[in-house]
Formats: sequence, structure tokens, C-alpha cells
Amino acid sequence: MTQPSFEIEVHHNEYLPQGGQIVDAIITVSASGAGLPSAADGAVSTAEVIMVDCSGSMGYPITKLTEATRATQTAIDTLREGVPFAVVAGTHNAYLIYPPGGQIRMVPVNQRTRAEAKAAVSRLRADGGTAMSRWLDLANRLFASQPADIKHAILLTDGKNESESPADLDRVLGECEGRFICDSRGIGQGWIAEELMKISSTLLGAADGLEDPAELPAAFRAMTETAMGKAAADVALRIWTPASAKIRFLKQAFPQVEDLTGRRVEVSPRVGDYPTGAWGAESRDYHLSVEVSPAAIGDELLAARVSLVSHDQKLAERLVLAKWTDDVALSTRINPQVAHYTGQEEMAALLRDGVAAMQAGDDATATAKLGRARKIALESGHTDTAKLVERVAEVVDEPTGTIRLKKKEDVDSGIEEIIKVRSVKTTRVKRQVE
Amino acid sequence: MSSTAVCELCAGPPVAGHNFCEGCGRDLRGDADRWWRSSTAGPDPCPGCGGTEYSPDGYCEACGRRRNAGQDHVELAIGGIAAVTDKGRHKQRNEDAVAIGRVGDATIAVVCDGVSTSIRADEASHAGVDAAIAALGTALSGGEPPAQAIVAGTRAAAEAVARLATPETVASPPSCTFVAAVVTDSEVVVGWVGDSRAYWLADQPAESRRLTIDDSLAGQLAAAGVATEAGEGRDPRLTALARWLGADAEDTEPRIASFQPTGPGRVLVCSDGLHRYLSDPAKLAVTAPGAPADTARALNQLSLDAGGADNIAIAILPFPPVSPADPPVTAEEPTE
Repeated sequence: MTQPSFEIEVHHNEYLPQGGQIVDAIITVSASGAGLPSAADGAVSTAEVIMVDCSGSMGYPITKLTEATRATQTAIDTLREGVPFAVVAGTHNAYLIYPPGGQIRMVPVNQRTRAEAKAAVSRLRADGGTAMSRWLDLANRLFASQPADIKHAILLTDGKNESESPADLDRVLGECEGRFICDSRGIGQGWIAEELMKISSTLLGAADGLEDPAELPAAFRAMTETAMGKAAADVALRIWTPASAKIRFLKQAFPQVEDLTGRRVEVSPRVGDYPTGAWGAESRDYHLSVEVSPAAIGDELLAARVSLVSHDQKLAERLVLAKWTDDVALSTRINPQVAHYTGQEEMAALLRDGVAAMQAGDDATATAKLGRARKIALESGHTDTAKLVERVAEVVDEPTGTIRLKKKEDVDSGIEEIIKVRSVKTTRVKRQVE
Repeated sequence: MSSTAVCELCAGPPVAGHNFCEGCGRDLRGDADRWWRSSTAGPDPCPGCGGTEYSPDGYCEACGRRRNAGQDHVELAIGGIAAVTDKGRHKQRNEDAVAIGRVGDATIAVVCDGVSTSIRADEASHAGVDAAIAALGTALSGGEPPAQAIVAGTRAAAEAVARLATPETVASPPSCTFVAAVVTDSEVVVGWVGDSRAYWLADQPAESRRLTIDDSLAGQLAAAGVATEAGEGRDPRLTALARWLGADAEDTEPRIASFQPTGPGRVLVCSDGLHRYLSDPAKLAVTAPGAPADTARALNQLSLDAGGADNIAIAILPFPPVSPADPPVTAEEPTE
């Protein structure tokens, strides 16, 4: 498999004061578009499974099911010729609605299978409960027979995972981890942000919610197109740290916050891999924080060596250095990238906790946290997030950023889940003129 | 590789299996058949953790500490010439480097001074002297005249230093100054890039003179006979380096000067760690008479006593080259 060319940039203040121990760096990883062998060239192989919620609630209102049907058909149209695919209908059970025949198998996209699959999708009916682990388990079994480099799934739901225990979902997610990538989308008012975020986080995809079912076809097209554009699979960040150092955390910081700290796979005592999934022509930022043992003024330390690997092949490498200085002007410099993402991480936590407080009836906490989150959003140019907060709160005083929660009846139902699922979406710092 | 060589500097007894002199700590490996010496550090254990494995970019594989390319204090001697380099009193590491050698009857010295505003300047200076002296000596033993050999040495140094640039050093890639001297029984040839200097210290002190012109505005003005204000208050633009070796350098060809001494004397090759304190040729000539090693040590001590603000590198080459106690060797393997 041909690899796209990857580039790593490190943004940080490498100067530490005497006794300083914390090195924070933003690692920008970019897969370059120029000469990027895309999946469309057949350089990498892809397989696709679409899971559509067909629980009883999808029929109320019926637009949810009709738009889900249209969206699935759009996704099938977007699949590249030859890509193995399957469509799963999910309820309290999981049904392979295409390909037919009752065998666990996938078929390649061609004119005939496209038409057959779309026809099968048009016959979907809403009936039953919701047990997502069954859907994911079927997808996992379907992918198991596929040698594809990139295995991508879409999960669409309108409800809570109520026909099984959370432990069932956890167990199946554990089985699916590393086997395929899954993007998830919620529609309507009944889905739970935490559930979708857990699924997509574990399976290295993205979760989101849609307010209007009419947005579904476009969303499905975008997800499928992105999956078809992936050119490198199983890419991991490999991080070497010195013997006495400790990785405080490694988070993906852009396009969304994702804590990868616990995902470390030990390679050797000082080296660990963190999975990042599949890459197309895209750029992501990671926030690495390392605690090192302090050294003398003038000493220079390699705090981390960051490389990108795919199947043990090194794609790019950069160093994160630390230097101790008695020059306060140097050691107190704040790197704008580190400051920006530290703020974005704080904003994500405030949004999540603020909505949770709101749902628990703790208005004082909700007001404080959401007000602060909105302020950070505005300061970082994250107007979408500020607008989301304004859906649940009124601005009382703009200069201080004081807000007041709206009355329950004035808040669109389902908006809380949208705020939570989008809380992790971040913006990039505007390029500084240097 | 273990060595049983006796240390030339301190005559310390060899200890079987040890790579460093027990007396003065210098690297004894390969000395027996090497025609040059440099102040570049051997693979010492990491000062941070004692580890001995380093990554190619110079970081300890265990604790991550960057190794210094140089050493705090080094004294070198070979073929009748001597050199000293010292960290000084205020710098955190030694970014000056010196290499000396002898090919046939010709003696060679190279000094590089790491540009302190560049990143990993110590790597630049040490890579510079090592690449330069090897290429220079090879050219000389291949029959090239000294001036061409110095050009070859400078180019080798320029390439070696430019190669040190990495994405981490893009803001200011590793850089250094360069000065080399070749002394034969008939002439002295020097070549330089930057503000490290070579002096002729005649046994008749009044005939002493500076052989290089600093690649800075002040240096050019002084060469044209225009005096500029010296000392603390002087405009920093005057002394700013106009040329250096490094990935971001534009003009790295050496300026060459040569002359035929009419009487005996010594050639001093040094960094500004010395000439910032004492730059008058006649005074330099009378300050430290004696054997080359004594002169080098004395001038180093003078710089330290005067403040030691910067790293110091000094090499002393007698003219005409004296026959050393050990027979001269060529760049090729000794025939005996």
C-alpha cells in the first residue's frame, strides 16, 4: 500500500525555568494532498457497512425513516465501484438487509448491487427496540471476512440504547476496537450524546447530531466521501520519552478533542503507540504534555520524539525539545497554539458539564459553566458553539458574558445532546504572522 | 577498541581496556595511527544518567539529555604543535572547537567558533573542525598546495555544518566561524570565514601581525584604516558577523592570505574568546613565550583571568615546523 506523505510540526515553548518540569507541545500532523494516492486510485482498499436504526421510534415522525432511507441510498451512490459493502437494519436485533440470502457476507459495488441495495433499503420498516451492540457485532462479523485496508462503518440512530445493558455495548465495543472505524450520527430527540461519543471515540470515528432529518443525505454523502478519500490505514503516533519522564496526557486537539492517553500500546519501555485511525488529505493537531525531571540551567533535553508509523514503517518524525534557562523572558513565553488548545479543551469540558448540570436541574452551575464556555468560544472564533449556547440561554450582559438559562419550554428538545456531541469540536488558531 | 597508548599530554599510564586517559581524561582511541587530533568529545557516558547510547541527533537514548559535542577543557598536542580549548567562565557549554594535525612537514590547525545565536552551535563547530582537517590533510598529502587544501577543507566544513540543519533548527541552523592555518618550512597560509583569527607572532615581536581580516563591518573598516570605537559602547552592528558556515550561509568560500616569514616565529590561530581580551600582535607575541603547549595554556589562562566571557580556542604552530619527538606521519598509514 502506498503511503501519503506525512509531515509533523511541533509548536511549543521549549524554554523552561529553573526546576520546570512540564513540557506542553502541539503536534500538527498533515497528510499532504500533493501526490496523495487516494482510495479513488485503488491504492488502498476500502469496505463499508451502513447501520440504520429501524427501531419503532424511527416512524415518529415518519420523516426520520424516509430521510434515513434517502441518506442510505445516497451513501450507496457515493461508494466507489468495487468497494465491498453491506447494509444493516438495527433494532433490538440486527438484520443484514443487503446483500440478501442470510449469509454473513459483503458484495462489491456495481450497477446491479447498487440498485438492489437501494431497493432493499426502500423497504425498511420501523419496528422494535434499540440494541446497538447487536448492530456493531454484525458489522464486525461482516468486516472480519474482508481484507480491506480501511473498514468504515456509519451508525445512524434516533434513540437511546435501551434494549440492553451498557455493559453489553462496552463488551462489543472492546471486540470491535481496532477492527473498523465508525462514524455515528443521531437524529431526532431521543438519542444520547454520550453513547454515540463512546462508540465513535473507541472506533476512531466522529459523532455528531442532526437537528433536521433532511440534513441526513448530505451528512451520509460527506461521511462516505471522506471514507473513500482515506489513503493510509492504521496510522499511529509513536512517542518516545526519556526514562524518567511521564506522559501526562496525549489528546487529539483538532478537529475534535479526543483523549488518547489511555490508548497507549507499549512498544518498548520508553516507546508507546497511540492509534489515530485512517488518514486522507487532512491535518490534525495533538496536544502532548510531558513531565520531565528538571535539569540544570543550560541543559537541553529531548522531551519526546514524535513519529508517525503505519505497520511499523516510520512516515515522519519530529523532536520535542526542552531547554532550561534563567532568562525569564524566554521561559514565560506562552505558545499561542498551546494556549489556544488548552482553552478549547477547557471549553469542551465546560459545555459537557454545563449541559449535564442543566439536565440535572442545577441551574447555577449550568449558568456559570455555559457562560464561561460561550466566552471562550467567542474569544477563539468558535461562533458555532457560541450560537449553540444561545439556544439554551439568553445573553444578559455581553461585556461580562453573563447568561441566563432559557425556560425549559423555550428550549428546542434535543439541543442539549447536540451541544454535548459538538462540545469536542475545536477550531484552529489563526496563523500568527511570525 | 581498547588502547595501550601513553597519553601524550599528561604522560599518564595506560590502563588496559580504558578508552580515556586516567590522568587527564582524553580520548586515547585510535591515537596511535591518527595524524590529527580534535577537541570533539568521544562518546562519553551521558552526564545525565551515565547511558552510553545516543541517537544520531545526539540525544541520550535513556534520559534524553543532549550530549555536548565538545568538552569543557581540552589540551591537544601532535607533531610539535599544541592547542587548548576551554568553556570559559560564563558559557554553559564549549561551542569552540579546535583540531590540529601534521602531514609530512606541514602542520595544520583549524578553529571553529559556534555562532552563539544559532541552535546547537557546538555541533557546528565540532563537525566543522573535524571535516575540515580531514579534507585539508588529505588534499595536502595528495600534493595540493596549501591554499587549495584550505579551500577544500573549508568546503568540507561548510558541507558538514550545513548537513546539521534539521526541522528543529530551522529558526537558526547550527553555524560557526572558520579559520585554518597551514605552516610549511617556507610559508604560512591561512583561510577564514567569520571573525576567528590567525596571527603571526614573530620572535622579533615588532614584526608580529594579524593575518586575517574579520568578516564584519568593523573588520573591513579596520582593514581599510578606519578606526572604529572599541569596547562595551560600540555599535553591535559593527561586530555582527557578515559571513559564517551554516545551512543559512550564503558565501562560505574562505578568504585566503599567505606570506613567507623572514625569521622564526609562531602562528596563533584563535577564537574571539582570546582576541576580545588581547588582540595586539606584538603584545600577544611577548605574552607567552615557550613551548607551544605552554603558550597555548598561558593564553588560555590569560583569557580566563581577564573574564572568560566566551569560549576559548587556541592553537600554536611554530615556524618553521619543528621536528617533533615522534616521527611525522602522513595521512596514509605509516609505512613502518
